Amino acid sequence: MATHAQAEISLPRLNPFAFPSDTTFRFVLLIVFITVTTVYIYTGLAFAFPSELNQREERIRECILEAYRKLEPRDLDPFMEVLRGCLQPWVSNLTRWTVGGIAIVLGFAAVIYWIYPVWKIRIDKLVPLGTEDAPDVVSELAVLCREAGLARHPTFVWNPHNRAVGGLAFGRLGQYYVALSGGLVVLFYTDRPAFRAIVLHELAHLANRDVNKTYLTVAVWWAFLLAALFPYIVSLPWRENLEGGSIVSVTWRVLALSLLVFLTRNAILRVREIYADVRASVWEGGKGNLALVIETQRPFKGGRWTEIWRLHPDPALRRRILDDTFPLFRLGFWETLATGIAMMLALWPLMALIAMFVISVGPSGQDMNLVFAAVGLFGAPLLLGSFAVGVLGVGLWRGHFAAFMRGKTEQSLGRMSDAFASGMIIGLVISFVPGMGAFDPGLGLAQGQSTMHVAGILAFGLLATVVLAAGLFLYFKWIAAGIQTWLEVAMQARSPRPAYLTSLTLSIAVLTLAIGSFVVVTIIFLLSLPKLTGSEDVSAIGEFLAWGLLGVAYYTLPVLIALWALPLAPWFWRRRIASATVSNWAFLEAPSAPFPLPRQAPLRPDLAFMIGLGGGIMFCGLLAAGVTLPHYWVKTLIDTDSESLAKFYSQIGTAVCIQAAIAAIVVLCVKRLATIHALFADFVAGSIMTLGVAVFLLSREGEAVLSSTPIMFFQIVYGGALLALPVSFAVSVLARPFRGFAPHL
Amino acid sequence: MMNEFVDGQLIEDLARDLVEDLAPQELPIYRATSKAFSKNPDHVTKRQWTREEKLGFGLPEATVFLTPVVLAVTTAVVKFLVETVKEAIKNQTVEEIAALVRKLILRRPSSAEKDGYALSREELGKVRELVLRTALELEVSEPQAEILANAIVGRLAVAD
Repeated sequence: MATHAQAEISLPRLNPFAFPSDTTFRFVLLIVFITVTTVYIYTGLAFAFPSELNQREERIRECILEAYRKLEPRDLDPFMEVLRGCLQPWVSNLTRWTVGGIAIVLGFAAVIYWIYPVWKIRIDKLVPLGTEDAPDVVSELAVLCREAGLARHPTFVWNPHNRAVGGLAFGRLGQYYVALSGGLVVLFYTDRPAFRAIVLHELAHLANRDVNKTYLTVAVWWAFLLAALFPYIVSLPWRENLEGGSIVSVTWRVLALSLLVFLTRNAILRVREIYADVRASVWEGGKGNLALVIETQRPFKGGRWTEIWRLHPDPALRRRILDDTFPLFRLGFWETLATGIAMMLALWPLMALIAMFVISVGPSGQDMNLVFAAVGLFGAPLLLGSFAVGVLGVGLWRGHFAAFMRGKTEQSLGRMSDAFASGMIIGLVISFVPGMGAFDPGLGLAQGQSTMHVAGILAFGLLATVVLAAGLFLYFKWIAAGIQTWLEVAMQARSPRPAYLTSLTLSIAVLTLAIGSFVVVTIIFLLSLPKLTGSEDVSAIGEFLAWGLLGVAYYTLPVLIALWALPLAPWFWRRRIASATVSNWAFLEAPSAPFPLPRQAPLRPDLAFMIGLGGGIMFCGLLAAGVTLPHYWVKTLIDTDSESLAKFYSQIGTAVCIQAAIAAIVVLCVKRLATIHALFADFVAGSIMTLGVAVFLLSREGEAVLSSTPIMFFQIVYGGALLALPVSFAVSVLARPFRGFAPHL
Repeated sequence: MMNEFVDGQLIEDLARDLVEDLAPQELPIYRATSKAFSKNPDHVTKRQWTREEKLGFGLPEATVFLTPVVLAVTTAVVKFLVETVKEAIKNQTVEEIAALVRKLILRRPSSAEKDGYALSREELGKVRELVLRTALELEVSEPQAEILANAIVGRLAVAD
């Protein structure tokens, strides 16, 4: 990892504004929570009253089971036709409720947001502060606006009766105000530094562009209470169609979600203050007046649990961050947990909504199935993947940047993965609402005729979450690897934005494809479940799964390439990095002398390429000489009598084993991101090996075998990659004691 | 609403005198504050910023700005004096009562005595009690309320 002796001695304050702030993260979280909770509430309302929706429910369940009976692996048309026929009326009714509910809540929020400034001015009896009232104050405010570099000055208003000493930035898009109390205006004459500190803090909210987020947060919270939670609670006594148990089951989920919304709102309002403090402290130029004002704030009593209910941050924390902005770079446990919850909560409803929409309005026939597959399977993962990576990926960037500048290793990855996985499990528990029709992961099977269906879905859900959590840990580790290398490029650029946007966009694409694959496998499982439990032909299910997995392999190939390409790409900037100093964007105050870039071990994709190339050529040589794994091993392993099949798989097996050896060699030769280099070397080797096998088969069996080349390629390359991971890990663990004696290894 | 005997200018003069003595740093914005007060005398609130403005930022204590309190207190005192004079001296015109109160307040209680009225110790005690009560209702600290009460009663009792 990086070393930087100077960093410990005199590292200037790091610039938290170089990356998207926690205010933005939390605001996005709030919107997701509110939308999902509104969907849950309005789905509940849709089922609450006697309607076509409820009358048709039993018929729909029968219809869905009928559709499953028509399901064939290679022709989804009959299945889709039946499904569309029975779902369409029900879908349009439910879509009206859910989309209408979201529209009502957001519409209310828009109205509250728009009228809030007028209401605030009236209720607080605020009047414009003119030169005839306090000319010195007015001219000082103009000076402060110029110091803050505000392109457009806010309207200053005041309440001459208000004896308190305080300021408040508020307003709406294009019309911002800063309210001053009478006491604050007096402070101008009695303690001008304190007056300046308070006003600069308020102007910092404008410069940080958090006023809109703040008042949208306030508006959306009230809109949620008025247009979602209130109707839900009022409707409870009239709910004829839900039994007591179901009401409890739905209500505790709605309340839990509402609590999440409330806590997220508080978290937004707290964190914005800290960012405003930091911005204002830069404008102050180290005078420390803001610090003195913060020190007068009443200290918090109680621990962490009392803090989450508050709208203002702990003054002690605010004061610490003025000296050292490091805590602003680390993504907190709770944000990560909440992101996991939000993602899992939103996944099924979003997919169901998209699927329902496509079923309702999409074309019929094969095109319909393609649209369904593309939009339904990738639309939701793309949206949610962007959301999760947007929050967590930027968090990782910030954490790695701060650790890198201190010459340390970012340690929060494990904690972050645990928090995210825990959040996903909590989200799964909350989102599994029996009897919520389309929002039930079993597409209505939860109340089906067989309890085995329910148990199967629950077990699969749990297993899927565990697999997903493990996969996400590896994914975050991969993002972190990419960040480590791209940071060096970003540090000597004028802004980190191009680097982190490129890296995160590719990360989102990878996650989308990965989640899309996961969803495909899930749906294949769900679709095959009724047939499996119905004791039908198991070989048909096997064929169905095989087709599904082949499809997955096709579109996950870019994922495999991105795994090594993204972290190793900064190798092309190696010369510029070698002589660079840290760009000024990294600091709040420009350092007095150029700050050298912390050093890391070099990337060696050139070496990995050569090793892969050598391994691939060696395999081709062995193939030509007829040296492969013994056929009888393969025959035993795959349980076949076919000589040609055994021969084919012995070639594939040999290729995979050589790739494992290549991975081991690369791990021993490369000091930094060894596993990533190993994946790259294996990909190079695997491509050459596929070419070798194809040429070999072409010469022996003619052109007919060429059609199987893609399958062969996937088997060699994916097999090599899957083996490379444990081998790299094992070799790096085994080689660790020896690296002390032979660091060049 | 101020009653017909109460002279707005008198309140403003007294309040200005007091602000000059007790909080001279507030004089630059005295005019704007008293103008706002004369429009909406009921708007002086006891609420403090920390409780009122959950989204704002400032100092936790709300004791530095005295002018609105002085205006509220002097209004109460002038009203009291008008009522007291009206009760004590019957058959006086509005103008005469106003003139007497003006003399009582503007450091000329001896001339008010010549005209037939001076505040008794008991009445001065009541004024003091009124000032303390009004100031404390507006969450002024006790020492500050005492200072304000002493300043007002001191003016009314100069002749003693």
